[in-house]
Amino acid sequence: MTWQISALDVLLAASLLLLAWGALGSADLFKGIVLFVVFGLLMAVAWIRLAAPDIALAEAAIGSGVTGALLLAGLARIERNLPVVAEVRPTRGAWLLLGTGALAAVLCWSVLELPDKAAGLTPAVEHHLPQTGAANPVTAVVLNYRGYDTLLEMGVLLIALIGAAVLARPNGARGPDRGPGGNQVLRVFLRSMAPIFVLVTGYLVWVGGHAPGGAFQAGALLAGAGVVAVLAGHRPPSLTDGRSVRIILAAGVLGFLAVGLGALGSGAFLQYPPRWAKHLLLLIEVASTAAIGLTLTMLFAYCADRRAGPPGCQENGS
Amino acid sequence: MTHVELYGLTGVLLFCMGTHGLMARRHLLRKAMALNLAGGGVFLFVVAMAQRATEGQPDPVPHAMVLTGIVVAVSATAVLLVLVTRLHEATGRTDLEPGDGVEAP
Repeated sequence: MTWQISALDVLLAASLLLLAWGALGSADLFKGIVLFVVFGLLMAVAWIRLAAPDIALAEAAIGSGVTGALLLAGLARIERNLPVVAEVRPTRGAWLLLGTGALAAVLCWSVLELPDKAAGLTPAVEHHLPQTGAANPVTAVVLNYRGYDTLLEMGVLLIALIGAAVLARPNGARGPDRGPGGNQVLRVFLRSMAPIFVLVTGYLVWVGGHAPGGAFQAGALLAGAGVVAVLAGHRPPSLTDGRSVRIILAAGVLGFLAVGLGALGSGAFLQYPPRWAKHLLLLIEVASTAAIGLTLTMLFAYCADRRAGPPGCQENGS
Repeated sequence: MTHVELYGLTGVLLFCMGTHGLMARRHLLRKAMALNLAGGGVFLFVVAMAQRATEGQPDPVPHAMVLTGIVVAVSATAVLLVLVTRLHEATGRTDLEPGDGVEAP
């Protein structure tokens, strides 16, 4: 299903390229990161133009929101005294430009040479959709057809968190709750918006079965609330806080494994019986949402640790 | 030009810009941004190609793969940033170039 491009598409594509150029090329790193966040938001619009609303939701929340927050938190931590270094030696720069230009030319030519129509896997997906337990084909692919991928992806999230926990500063004290790094406006905002965050998260999980939405988008929204909480000065959860934190973090992988092993009784691993598929998918999604939200929040907390640094730099927080 | 071609070209160009930035820029945060831009370019290309499906709906399998890719990219970026901040705390540097990098006082 293709159509001729409109002015909006051309403007969108040009803006994406310009923003990427600005993000990489601007001398001020803060400006570059802000341009990167705007780039992510325009990518969400591009996903809508390409009829991918699930990805648009995830990109706006995770790709632009959480990644931008991580980069800004990292910048805040290292921007004490930024030494000025030349970016790259001129001779090497010319060769790099030439090589990348040649790569771009070859790739652009091959894009234009691709066939116009490609059946893809849509017929196969549509054929068995009623038995997957989800009416939204993307959710069906993510949680049923390609369930292994999603199971391992939850594992990747967990491993990333463990890696960040191992690499972060060794001592566990993170400052008192309502410490000097807190922000009153954010605290009030969080207190009034917390019910809405939870409600929309639950709605996204539920609606993902038959419309754009799902566990990753809902988990990203929870992570957004968590990032606001960390910025407001609340003490983020840590791995040493007790068993409940670790259970929630592992719930994504464990929920999947439990359902998968349970399905062994009626077929292969992760072969959901069609009669229970919808309920099993919902169970997996709820566990995954909690795990994703907590994991991304803790990853942000590890990147935004503001204990280090001289006094007086805790007010200019993130 | 169809929109598949336009977004495919944009994705490819973003990938090349990201790769160039990854190799040419010295600051590690810029390298992290370049990596994310290259990933975004690849995702854009993949989803644009998914629009070539002959049925009414686009092919949902590439959509699911890109969804997975976005989450994996943010996980990798988070670990990368923790590494960068530890490097800065330990040595005061924000780049990995040998020799003529300026040492922070």
